[in-house]
Amino acid sequence: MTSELLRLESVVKHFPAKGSLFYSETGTLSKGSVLQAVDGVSFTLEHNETLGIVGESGCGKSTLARTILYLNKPTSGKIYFEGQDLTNLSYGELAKIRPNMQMVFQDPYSSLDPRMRVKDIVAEPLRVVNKEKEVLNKRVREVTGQVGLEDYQLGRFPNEFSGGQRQRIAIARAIMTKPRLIILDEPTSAVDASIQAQILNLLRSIQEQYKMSYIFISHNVDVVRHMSNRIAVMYLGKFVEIGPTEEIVNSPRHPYAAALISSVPKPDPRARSEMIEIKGETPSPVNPPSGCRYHPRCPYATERCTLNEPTLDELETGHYIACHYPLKR
Amino acid sequence: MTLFQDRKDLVLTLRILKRDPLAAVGAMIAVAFCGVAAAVLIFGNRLVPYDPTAINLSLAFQPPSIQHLFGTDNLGRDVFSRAVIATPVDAEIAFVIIGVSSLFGLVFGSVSGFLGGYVDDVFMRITDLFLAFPSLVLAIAVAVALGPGVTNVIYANIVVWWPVYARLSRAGALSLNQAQYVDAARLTGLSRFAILLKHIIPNNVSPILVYGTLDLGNAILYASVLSYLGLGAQPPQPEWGRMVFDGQIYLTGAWWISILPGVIILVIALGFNLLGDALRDVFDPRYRK
Amino acid sequence: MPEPVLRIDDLTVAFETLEGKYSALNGVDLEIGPSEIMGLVGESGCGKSSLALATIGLLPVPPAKILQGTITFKEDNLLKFTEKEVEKVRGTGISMVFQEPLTSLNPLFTIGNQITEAIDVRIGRENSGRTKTSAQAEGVTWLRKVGLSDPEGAFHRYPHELSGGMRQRVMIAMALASSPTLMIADEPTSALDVTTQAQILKLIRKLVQEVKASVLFISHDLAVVAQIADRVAVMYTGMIVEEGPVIEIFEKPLHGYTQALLASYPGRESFNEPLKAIPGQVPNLTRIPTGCPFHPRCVRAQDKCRTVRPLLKEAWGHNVACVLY
Repeated sequence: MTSELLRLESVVKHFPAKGSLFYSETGTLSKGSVLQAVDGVSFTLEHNETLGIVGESGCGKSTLARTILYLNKPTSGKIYFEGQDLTNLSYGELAKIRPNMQMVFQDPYSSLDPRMRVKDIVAEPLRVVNKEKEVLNKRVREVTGQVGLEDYQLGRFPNEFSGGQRQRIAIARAIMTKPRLIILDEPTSAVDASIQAQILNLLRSIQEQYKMSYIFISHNVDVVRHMSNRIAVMYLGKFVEIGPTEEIVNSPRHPYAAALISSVPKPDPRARSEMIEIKGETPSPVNPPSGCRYHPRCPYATERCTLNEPTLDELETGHYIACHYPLKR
Repeated sequence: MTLFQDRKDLVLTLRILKRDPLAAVGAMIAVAFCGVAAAVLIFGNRLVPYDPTAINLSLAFQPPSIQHLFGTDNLGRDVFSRAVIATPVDAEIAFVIIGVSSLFGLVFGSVSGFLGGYVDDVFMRITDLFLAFPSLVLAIAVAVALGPGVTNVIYANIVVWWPVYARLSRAGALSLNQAQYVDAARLTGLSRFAILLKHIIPNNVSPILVYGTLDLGNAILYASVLSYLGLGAQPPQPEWGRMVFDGQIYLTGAWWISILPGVIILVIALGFNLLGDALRDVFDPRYRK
Repeated sequence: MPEPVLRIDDLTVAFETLEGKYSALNGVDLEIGPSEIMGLVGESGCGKSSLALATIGLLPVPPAKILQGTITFKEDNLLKFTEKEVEKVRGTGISMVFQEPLTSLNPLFTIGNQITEAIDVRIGRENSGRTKTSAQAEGVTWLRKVGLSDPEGAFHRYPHELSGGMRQRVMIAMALASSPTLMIADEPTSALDVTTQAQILKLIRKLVQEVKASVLFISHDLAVVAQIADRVAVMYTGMIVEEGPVIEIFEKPLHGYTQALLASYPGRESFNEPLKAIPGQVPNLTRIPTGCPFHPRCVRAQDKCRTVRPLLKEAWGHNVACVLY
């Protein structure tokens, strides 16, 4: 019996990209090419821990989230949840595990069924397991109270609520079954700054109460830093660096991680000249560069980087990096 | 499951009806149509001044007057009474056709779009098969094969009508498949059947509703055409299309026998078109928020 | 004190909607000086986009109604202009960059076509001779200036063939190629990745210095504004609540809203402490609170705040709308 909550081993998710709308500087892609959304991700997650994943669009973080939850079946690789291999489970067997892992989606405007009342939306995850009305009602009241919604709002429809309130509803729904793991995919990107703080505080208090683990995905490094014990930086389908939060944020060792973290604007006008510039644009995940995927944009790239893909190695305890020439501290 | 999501939709509909006179006219026509149909079903011949089947040759070919609002036909029957009594026939035909076609199309298309893969391919090929024929021709062919009568007209038209709804629903289901709340439902471990029933189909209803309303007018037209050709309602049951046919040899003289029922068909079809337009506006995201 | 390039006085705009009267702008006062980047910060629904549209004359009137106020651009009141006169100002005096470049570029025309159009507008104004090749050469120069790696190639491509970041660079090129006095940028980097955003911000700063244009940079993101603006104006429920030099605003905010907004931002707290969230929500613009619109959420609110609507006035080097000053 392992103490790990979640374990990923070389998880890969490829999509056949026939006639899709991805264009890059080099032109359109041809039929039959493959979109390597997630290309070999491995990590473990403990109980009551938050792992933050940062990356830009096209890095595969949303696909990773969906694959972990088995909304997409991985192309290869293994996912272990509480020691159990999810790979060959049937739809019904998976359904039994689902109450333990939930997700809060990015867009509060499309994550709630517009034709259902709030109380039914929130009740749904538990209703699948337990249809007793009393139990359901009690739990619904409990969670909606926790997220700060009033009883009278339960009978309303989602379109009567603001973005921030909808996220609260989504969070209430996610905690209905007391899951051990919740994946949060950009939960505050679509809400205003003043609401963001409320939501983040709510998420922290819930985590303390239920002792659950979070995987917190965001492009906003400040937000991820506030919430996470560890941070992983993702680029073109792979983790390029993963380690304790403060280390990653204060002294990132991978050139991309360093550039990414320095690019995040801080609300401090005196901190302007510190941005490390990256040249060029993120390549399409259909045609990732050879060797180290970051080499075309890396100022330190050598020939070795174009040929050999670096592996994620442990540089210091708990701090892994995939780079032939990690930056000095 | 609520059709109008909440009072807001209803209020919005009423507001649009108030603002747009054409929409209001359409709504009134549609309501009048349904009202008259219902009234006839309840009260029967007592609703009208004259017995619609009473033959009285001495009164034949009277032009429209206060006594006979629409005049009398070649057999001395009061055209107005006949027209009124004919209302529920077309109402029944239109509503049943659209109702059954849209329901079937909704389920068929939603399943197809949601499940995807083989199911989608097969279902869509079947739909294509039906769509390959010009609809009116196909409807006539089926009606002829089945024989005369109102029920057969209904069957014939359902065959022709359902594919469009299937297509529409499939498109809706395809986009709903991507919706995050459907993902959220999958995460709860709901069976695919349950997701289809609870999330996909209810959210697919509004485009069907709009299209269906617009379509009611067309259905009435098709029904009238089939009756005109002798395939629908049989004498002595009055029916608008049939009345147009019966009266057309007298067009130059007693024009009212043909033209007035024809005008009614036109007005009803137009009314539903206008109403459908207004409903589409209600569900158009631009008018929301 | 040099004359401001743009001055907005007491601008009040309302929309008639099915849900009631939507007060988008409530007495906005704002001044932008020459060669100055003014950052306008506010959350969604505060009216900042309405302000941009009103300035460039793109407000849909009706349902919008300009109830009072003036927009003075180089001594002319834009609100009194005819449609034709406003058209002349657009693209030559004032140009605009929008948030979503995919919808602001015409998908049917090449990039080159669209940028030479912008250049033509300027040349038309200057009335100098123009040949096809000279406009094309200038177009390519601009594409190079905004950092496209293959400007000649991009010149002949269509918008959908470029990435989001590249399209936004094209938009900036188009906005600046016509040598405007004022460029309005409405959330120009919100749809972009963080690294691309950093590049674009740097680019804007560099280019507007070259062209000597002023910029009205609108964003919901405080941090982005901190990186680019010379002065900052904070907007809430359709009015400016505080305005001043960027360092002053961030280091010594005076208005309750500005302070609360800055304090709620993560990154200033340690991992284990809760963030200082602002209680309540941004009010719906059909139901703005009486008196000071922020008073229900302000920690320093007093009785006076419920009834007196504070006007923007000078205090400690800023312009603040608060009864405490």
